[in-house]
Amino acid sequence: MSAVTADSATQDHGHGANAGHGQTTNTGVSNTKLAVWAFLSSEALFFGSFISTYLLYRGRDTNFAAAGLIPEAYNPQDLFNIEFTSATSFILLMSSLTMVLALAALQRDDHRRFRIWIASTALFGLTFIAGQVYEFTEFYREGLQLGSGTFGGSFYVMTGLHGAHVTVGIFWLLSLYQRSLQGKLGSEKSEAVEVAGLYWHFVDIVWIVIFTVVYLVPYHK
Amino acid sequence: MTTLDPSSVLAQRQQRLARPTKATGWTSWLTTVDHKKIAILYGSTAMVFMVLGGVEALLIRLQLWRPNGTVLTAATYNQLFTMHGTTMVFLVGMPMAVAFGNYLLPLMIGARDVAFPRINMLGYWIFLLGGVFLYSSFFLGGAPNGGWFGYAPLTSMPMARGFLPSHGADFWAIGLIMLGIGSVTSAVNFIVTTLNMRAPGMTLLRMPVFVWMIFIIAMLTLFALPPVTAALIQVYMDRNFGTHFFDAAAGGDPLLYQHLFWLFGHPEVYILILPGMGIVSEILPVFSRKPLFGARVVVMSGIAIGFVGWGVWVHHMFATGVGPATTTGFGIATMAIAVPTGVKIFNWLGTVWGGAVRLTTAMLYSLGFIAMFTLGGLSGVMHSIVPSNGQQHDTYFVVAHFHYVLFGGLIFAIFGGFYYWWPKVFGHFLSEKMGKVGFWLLFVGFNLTFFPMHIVGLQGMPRRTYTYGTGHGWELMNQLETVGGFIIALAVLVFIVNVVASRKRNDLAGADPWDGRTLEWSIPSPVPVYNFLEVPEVHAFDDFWHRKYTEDEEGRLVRLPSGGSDAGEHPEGEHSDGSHIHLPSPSYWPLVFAFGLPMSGYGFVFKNWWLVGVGVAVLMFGLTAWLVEPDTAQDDHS
Amino acid sequence: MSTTTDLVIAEDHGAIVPVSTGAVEHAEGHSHPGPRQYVIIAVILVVITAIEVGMSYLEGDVDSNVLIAMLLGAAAIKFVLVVAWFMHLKTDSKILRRFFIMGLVGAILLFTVIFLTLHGMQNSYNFPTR
Repeated sequence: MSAVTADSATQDHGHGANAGHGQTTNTGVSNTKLAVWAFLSSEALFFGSFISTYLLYRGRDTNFAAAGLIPEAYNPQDLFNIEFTSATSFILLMSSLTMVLALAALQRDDHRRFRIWIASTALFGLTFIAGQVYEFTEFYREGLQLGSGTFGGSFYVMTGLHGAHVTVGIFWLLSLYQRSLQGKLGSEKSEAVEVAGLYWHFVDIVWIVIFTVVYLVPYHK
Repeated sequence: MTTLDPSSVLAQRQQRLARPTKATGWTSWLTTVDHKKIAILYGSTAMVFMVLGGVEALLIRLQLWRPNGTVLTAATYNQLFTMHGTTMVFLVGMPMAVAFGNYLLPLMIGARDVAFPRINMLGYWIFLLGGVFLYSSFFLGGAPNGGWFGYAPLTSMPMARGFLPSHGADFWAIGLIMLGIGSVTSAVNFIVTTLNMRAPGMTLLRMPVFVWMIFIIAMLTLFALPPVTAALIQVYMDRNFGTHFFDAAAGGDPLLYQHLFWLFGHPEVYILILPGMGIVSEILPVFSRKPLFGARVVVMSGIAIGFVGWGVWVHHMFATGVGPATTTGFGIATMAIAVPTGVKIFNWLGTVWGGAVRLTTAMLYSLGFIAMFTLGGLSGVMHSIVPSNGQQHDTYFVVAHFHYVLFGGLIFAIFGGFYYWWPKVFGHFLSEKMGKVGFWLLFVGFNLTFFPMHIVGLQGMPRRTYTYGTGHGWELMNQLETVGGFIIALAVLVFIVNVVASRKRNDLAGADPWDGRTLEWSIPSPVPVYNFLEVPEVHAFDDFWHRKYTEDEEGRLVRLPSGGSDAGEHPEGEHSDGSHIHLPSPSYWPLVFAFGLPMSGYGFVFKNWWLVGVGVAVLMFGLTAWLVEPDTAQDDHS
Repeated sequence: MSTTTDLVIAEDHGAIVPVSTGAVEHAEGHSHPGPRQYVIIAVILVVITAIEVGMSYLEGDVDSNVLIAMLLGAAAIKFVLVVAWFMHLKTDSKILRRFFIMGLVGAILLFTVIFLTLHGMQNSYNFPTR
């Protein structure tokens, strides 16, 4: 990229903020970070659409089954295993902690700790995904299919897309781990970890919402 | 899995697959990351799609030439109007805006490229491959046939249930998701470029109005595409996996689809028209020799349109019976949005008023834009009146309205933009004579085609109807429309001939042929690869103009002796050939990455999970290679 | 922690060199919170989650509207904590905050309107009875 050109490097940097490395921008925020935040605010509407769809159809199956329009309505609360999901949610929440610790370690040039924390983040993510696979299998065994009323589809698609995001995040983290092993990820490149972290935390906050709204908030019988 | 440990393999492979370096020849177009080349690719590809969409429209017009027409079957007709709308919105309107934005945004703010050159190229490849993907459906069992907005449950019912018994709707859903990914990448790129890459002194309020409009549509794109992407995923799941998102019989709500679609669809209307407004806001001042009247107000109106544009989507759904409170609220919001739009029209008129008007082709198109867009805007306000809306809903009146806005507005502005910036992009003028002939043909053809649609629409002719019976009194109007359609085709043909002939004639333009006001006219034509030898310092709105002119005591314009274009004069020193300016290096990986999308797309359409897997693998491979590749070849290991 | 200096934002003045930074360097500028704060935040998050899960067992004992309000409140606190501290929005540039808040508020407003519209209609459903 057009790094710093001879003439622009000599220009006045003004305004103090972030003047180092010649990476000065009008806003003082790096391009990558601004782009990632813009993307995440777009993603907020994406997940917002699926969560809203779920909420709109919440409890509707009961009425339709009572009216004989669909064969059976699954009561989410009978399916959900709150203890189990609490545990996996807890793990995902903790992965956010290890993620920030990884970033802090890299910024201190502590590469060993960085790799430990980034690997544990990926591992926690993987555990969460394993939990989701187990949960889906269980629900499916209990009869909940994609076509089970509106609940089946809206639940599986929403949580499945979240899981897909987590999976992408795991690959992202592993690629950072790999780059660190190759010695290509010095503290001067910590922004690469920071933006991966932003994505990871975003996926985490989406789950914070889903966990509360979908699992914990009581369903009227 | 190759995806788990790709970097070392890639490192080896990259040595064999040397980084592309060629700057000329056709291969350079495959790997370029130069925003100007990418803009030309966007523009020319969109032009090809415009011709395709136009041919579809002409076939529709032939079918409607007389009552009980038999030119097309009903099934083909459905595919044609669906693809016409889809093409014109997603493969012409949006990419054209990206083409102009790509070329002009960095130049107008004094930057050497956009913020993410490789993502820029990725956006183009996704657009091209997404378009090819959609059109390939014609040969793979039938094109999309559920209308450009693909209302559920028509589109969402499984194929086996026979509502739309082809893969068309799957192609449509997957294709639009793909194009949406491309649009979001270019939106993010434009937003970051505008916010972060401005030249010294180029404050937000000193930015040209066109830049502002591109920024606003990028914001709209960013927030408008997620809901429709969600809706398209739900349609796809309903069709292929038995979910009941929109199946009313099982509790699904078709109106949810309409909400999610129009939550995108209405901002989309502004995504399409705002670049047109930006283009004419650049052209009118130059050919009136006056600054844009109330430039800040034009910008603020644009922002207002951007915001209020989010509060009007339900006016597309008045006929669904959403209830009196909702219709009232959205009706009022729809009327309100006419205010900033009207303000802009008066700003443009105020710019031309009392100016030293030069009626060039670009100016003619811009004036045409004002007139046609005003007509389209007026019929638009009519839709906000709820009872009248119910009468007009899904009739040809609506077709007339949005063609006045999008064709009379956007397409006129695009042609104006072509004539205005052609010298900058290619170094030579387009023929003004042919341009004016083309303009009048287009103007007459356009009005002949679309004005009668108001009348038949109010007489009750439904849109999307594949034929109509005798005795409605619609024959004459429909024949006029068909004749008009072919005149439009002739006008487009004149433009294409003009492009070819002007290239041959090569009437060189110089750096500043129109006495322009914005930064792009301060550098040579065609623009050198590095854009600006010296990054300009900006002191005012219309900075380049103020470098050329000052005012004497009586307020008359006086040309500054030394001011103006320094284009072509190479200052002494090491930069004289621009060789010391580091530019982003070309890259293969955007192309590789983009190829993964249609591959998995076909897999999703035909439910071939192996193909999906291969597509995802290609995608991951391209992405990983991309991430390990440094931005500039020189900067390696720095 | 010099959080005050982080608030120096070179926004909208424009008198800065246009340089692209697609490359992922640039680490300085905003000093992030340290590991200690991170752990404290994580502990708070865990406690809130535990309370949340505990609350969900109170169903039937407490008025369900109160329960829902409390659960949503707890989720909102967790959300804000992660965004503000782990994603550094508290100390990072204003422009990032504006972006995210715009997306969030937009999403909430738009979907609320959709809800009001669709729920208004749902009440008029007439279910056939057998």
